[in-house]
Amino acid sequence: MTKRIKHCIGLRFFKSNEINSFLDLAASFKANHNFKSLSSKTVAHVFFEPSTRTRLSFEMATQKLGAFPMVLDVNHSSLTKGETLVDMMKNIEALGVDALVIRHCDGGVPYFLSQNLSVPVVNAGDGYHEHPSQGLLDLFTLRETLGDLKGKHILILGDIMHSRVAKSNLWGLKTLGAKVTVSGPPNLIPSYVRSLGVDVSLDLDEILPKVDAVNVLRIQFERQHGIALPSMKEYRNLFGLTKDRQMLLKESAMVLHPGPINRGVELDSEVADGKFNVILNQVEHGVYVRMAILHKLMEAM
Amino acid sequence: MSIAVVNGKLINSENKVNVQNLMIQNGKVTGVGYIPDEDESTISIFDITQSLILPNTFDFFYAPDIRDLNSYIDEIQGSGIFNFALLPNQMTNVLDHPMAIEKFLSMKPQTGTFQLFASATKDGAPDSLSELSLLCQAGASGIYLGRIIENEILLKQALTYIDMIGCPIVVGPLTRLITGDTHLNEGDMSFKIGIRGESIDDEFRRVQDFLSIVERYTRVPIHFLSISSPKAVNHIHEFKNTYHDISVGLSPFHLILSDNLLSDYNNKLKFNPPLRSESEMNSLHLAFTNGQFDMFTSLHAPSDKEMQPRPFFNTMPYVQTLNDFFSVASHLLSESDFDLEQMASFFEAPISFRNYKKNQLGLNDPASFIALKNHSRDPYEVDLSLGVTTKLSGGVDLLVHEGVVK
Repeated sequence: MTKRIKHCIGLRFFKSNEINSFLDLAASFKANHNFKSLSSKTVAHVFFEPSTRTRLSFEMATQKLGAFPMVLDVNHSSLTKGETLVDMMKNIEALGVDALVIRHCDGGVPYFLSQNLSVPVVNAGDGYHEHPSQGLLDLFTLRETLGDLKGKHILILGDIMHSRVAKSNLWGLKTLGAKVTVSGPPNLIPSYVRSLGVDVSLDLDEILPKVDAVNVLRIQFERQHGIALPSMKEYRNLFGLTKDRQMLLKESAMVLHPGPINRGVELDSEVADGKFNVILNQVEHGVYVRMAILHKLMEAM
Repeated sequence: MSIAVVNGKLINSENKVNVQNLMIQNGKVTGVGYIPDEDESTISIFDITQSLILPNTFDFFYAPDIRDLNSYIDEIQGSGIFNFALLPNQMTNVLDHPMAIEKFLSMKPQTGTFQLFASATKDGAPDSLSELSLLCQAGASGIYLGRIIENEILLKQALTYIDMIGCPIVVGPLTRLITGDTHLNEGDMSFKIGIRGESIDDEFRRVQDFLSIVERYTRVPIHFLSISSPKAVNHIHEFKNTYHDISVGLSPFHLILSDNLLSDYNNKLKFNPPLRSESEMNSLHLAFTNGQFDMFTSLHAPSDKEMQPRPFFNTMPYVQTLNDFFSVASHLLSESDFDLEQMASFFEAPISFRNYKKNQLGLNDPASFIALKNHSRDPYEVDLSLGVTTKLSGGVDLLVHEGVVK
């Protein structure tokens, strides 16, 4: 019997069959839009960090499954009165919610809540740790076009150090057997990635013709703390996927970006809106993948 | 009821170790070297063969709220640290005013000694110096340097005053508490689990910068509370060639625990300074066996009574118990080549910071001591309160506080 997946905290916790089970279910949701499997269930959405895409995508996924999305405005929550995180979440649980979707600025908070609550916890992004639903939707988008990802060559481009999207992609792609290369400023590439069997390339022009897809990461100004990048112009010159650079890509290559895009920095508009981009497909797939996550975690409760 | 403690190893006034028997009555040592003829029903005998008796253990702790001081002292002394120094708490910073110093000193414990180290800055802010000479006149034994180190101009000013006063300095962990916007740790585990921390290079650079300023401004005794990176302790060790009165503390936990244990966000393992990688831990162990450290520090804070679970980021460090501290410390010493006198010195304050006698016990002294197994024996499995099971040798043999066996 397959072991039920209790929480979705990070792709580093999943085996390949578990990742594929999410992707397969998401594919069936994409093929069949009417799937109200969770009617009468309630999902709490608690976002301690700003979010547009992920928050709306989770809300839509919840509604499409027939469940009720209970959205908490944390700026007007009891946390502002000094209540602890555990007390607040246990109260939300006591209201009768069936699952919790949480985004937090500190890595480890969803894991911590998964240890202290009895309902399934879905990580919608935690600090520098992981963004598993984004990782899964990237895998879904890649798999849909490239097929089995085993042996496919994927480039992750940008600030690897601070990116939770990069980490979820790294674990997910390696678990599914893809060949992964990372590229970006050397001070933003931790040496640890090599121990995962990931290649590092500092010459973007040299690596671009060899890859099947490029996942371009957003430069996260809010997480740099003034230490990482000398200038945006230099970054664009060395690691931006510019209009000219996109000509180096294979004809069949794909360009992904988790959004929001810093146009003219990591991605030129001609690339963001050009023939290689699958960015809006990613957004669409996000809903199906998040439906799959919620369904799988809540199906046997 | 009388207590006889037999076959323990005691350090004498000539700093030599003798196997001695102790007689304890009414909370005092009433016999050293002999057991009087008494009715067996009125005497409890504890055989502590192969254990080292430590009656004057010392450590630094952060000061609690004054209202909690008595229970704080009871917990510290009841756990085997009989002398201690209080440092300004980074959160409440209660030791930045002469009246606060006087108030704390008026609550002196009945046994053991305690000292106060005053805060170099007012209100825990890094931009305003305290009245350092007034604090020392009020009874502070020295000055504690915390965040002031980040402000070079203020540090130079403080060192100039400290040199004029001639009081010792204690330097806190040279890493900031892992809260707020500190930048990312370079460690593999920190990257993997997405926690922020401070790297060994950060600690090394702070030590290097601090000492380069110190040598130009003062010659007072300096003690580093806890250093966790081999590079930093090596640098301090080399510095001792030109600046003699300098000592370094070490948390024994940093020699047996690595950041590999953080993969599940075990918030009991949140230390300041943070746990390092396994290879750094091994290098630190080498520095320890090479004699580059002077004393053990428990990094413990008895004031933390908060029991509700918290996420890693919101957990304060210093939750490990003193029982764990002694178990791990005695394990490290029992496996080392240090002689017994050296072992005892790891539990004493560095000489310039000491206003009590060494780990010696004599007639009519208060009967408070901890006896640690000093010989290496087959490791046994221990469940530390940190949520870690490990194999240790050594261990606590007997703890007596004010004549009562704990």
